[in-house]
Amino acid sequence: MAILKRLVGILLALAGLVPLAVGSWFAVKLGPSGEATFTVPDPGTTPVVFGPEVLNRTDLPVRIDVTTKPGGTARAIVGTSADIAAVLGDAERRTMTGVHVREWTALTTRSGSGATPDLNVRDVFRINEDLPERGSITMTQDTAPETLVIAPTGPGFAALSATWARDTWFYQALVLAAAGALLTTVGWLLARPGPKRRVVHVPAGTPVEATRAGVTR
Amino acid sequence: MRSAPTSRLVAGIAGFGLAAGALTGCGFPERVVGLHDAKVETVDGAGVPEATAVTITQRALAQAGAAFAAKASDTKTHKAILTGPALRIAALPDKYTDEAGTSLKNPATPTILAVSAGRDWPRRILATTLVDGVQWLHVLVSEKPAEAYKLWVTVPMLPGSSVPALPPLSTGTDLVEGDDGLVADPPAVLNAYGHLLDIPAPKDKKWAKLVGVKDPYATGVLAASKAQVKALGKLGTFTRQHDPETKSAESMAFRLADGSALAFGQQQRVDLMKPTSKAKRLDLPSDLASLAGEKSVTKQLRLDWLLTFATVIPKDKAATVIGVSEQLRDIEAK
Repeated sequence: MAILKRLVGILLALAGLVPLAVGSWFAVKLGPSGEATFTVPDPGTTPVVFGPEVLNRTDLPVRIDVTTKPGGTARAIVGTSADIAAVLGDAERRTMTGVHVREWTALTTRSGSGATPDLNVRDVFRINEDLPERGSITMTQDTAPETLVIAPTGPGFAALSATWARDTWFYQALVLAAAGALLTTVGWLLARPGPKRRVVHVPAGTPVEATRAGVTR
Repeated sequence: MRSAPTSRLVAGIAGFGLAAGALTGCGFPERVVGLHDAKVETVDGAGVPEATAVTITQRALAQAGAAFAAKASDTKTHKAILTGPALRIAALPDKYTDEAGTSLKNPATPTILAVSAGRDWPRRILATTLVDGVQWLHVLVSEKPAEAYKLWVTVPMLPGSSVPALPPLSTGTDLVEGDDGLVADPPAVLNAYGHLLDIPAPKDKKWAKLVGVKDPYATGVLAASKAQVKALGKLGTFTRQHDPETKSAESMAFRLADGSALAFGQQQRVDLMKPTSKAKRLDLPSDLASLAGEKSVTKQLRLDWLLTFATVIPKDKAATVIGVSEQLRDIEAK
């Protein structure tokens, strides 16, 4: 019975370590505001497309933060996927397809081989504006489904990221970590060795009034 | 003795773990992140939403007004925002005042009547504005994705006329190719209409089956022709000849809700007056004399007009002209 209890304790402790580690990691990464930011690795100089499969997969707004290299700007255009595709034609582009949570990076695919067309096009896009060297654009779900293209002008991107924010994520991470900590603690309590058993020698003829566990005659 | 509390503790922890898991872990993408499929983009229906169409039309009409106000030689300004029949009118010599340009000086907020269906190009917008009590119809065209909408035609509606019901804006409106489902194609209808207003009077009876001439414009033109012939009497001859403006008979037609079409196109008209041997000369009214640079003619007076029409073409009945713009573009007096 004691061995079984210790075994359960060890398993609980080990099982608790996982949510403790994961919850703590998420809590640190998300921060109190619950911001999940995924950066586009090596954004370079080609336009980056954020389609509905990225922008409109949750009910949350998505903030795209753009930093260009010194002296550069970026153009942000928002429209329907069909219109964006028609304007871009065969232009070389990177399309964000998902996220890599463990590395907090955006997954992208490359397509097209042509030069970027003039995106200063009226009437087709709902939004068509220049972003400063450090700028951002927030896409809400009110006009979904839509596609966003960020095209750098000049020296190219220094950094590009997509951020979803929900403060409850931080607290959920804390709950996960707390649950893991509790499991680990209880497991450790169960698994730790019990108090050392003492042997009490009772003189012959002495009446025994009580027997405690761990005490033998 | 310690096994019962231990079991309760383990059960409690397990329950807590399950609750925490439900809160945080189980179904992570859907329940915690709120992940769901993205909305599917509709590829049919109107090419642009109504609000966007209003914005586009307001911008285009304001720019078109400025372009009409520019000099006739400023083709760069004209071509930046005008195309087709509207460009043809704007390019006329500055001395000929165009009513289209006048109507666009202070464009009212447009009402969108139709937006071409589908996501492909070219895309069209049919809009209307009310200017000084006159209802104007405007057609805007975007030929390709990278090209902004331009004003293709602008024409005032005739008094008492109306545009039959169009399909709902959200579903978009189809464009009519040729005579698809119509009594005749737009160029044929306009050609018939023009010939019915010709002087001498036409002889081909089939034209009257294609289009009626009881609208205010036709009535006025026919009455004016009759009065002119009568006024000249034996002192001069008067002819009035209509022809398609372009060889390709450029036109555009929107399918209406009942299957008929609202079509736009242009015709040219030449009015020719020649004094006979019985007349010494023909004196011109002051406005024409000013434009012609002559007070009278001894050989002929030739007036060249550019006419823009809006016509409702039914499936099997005679068409009705509901809008006309009559623009003098050349005068020759000698």
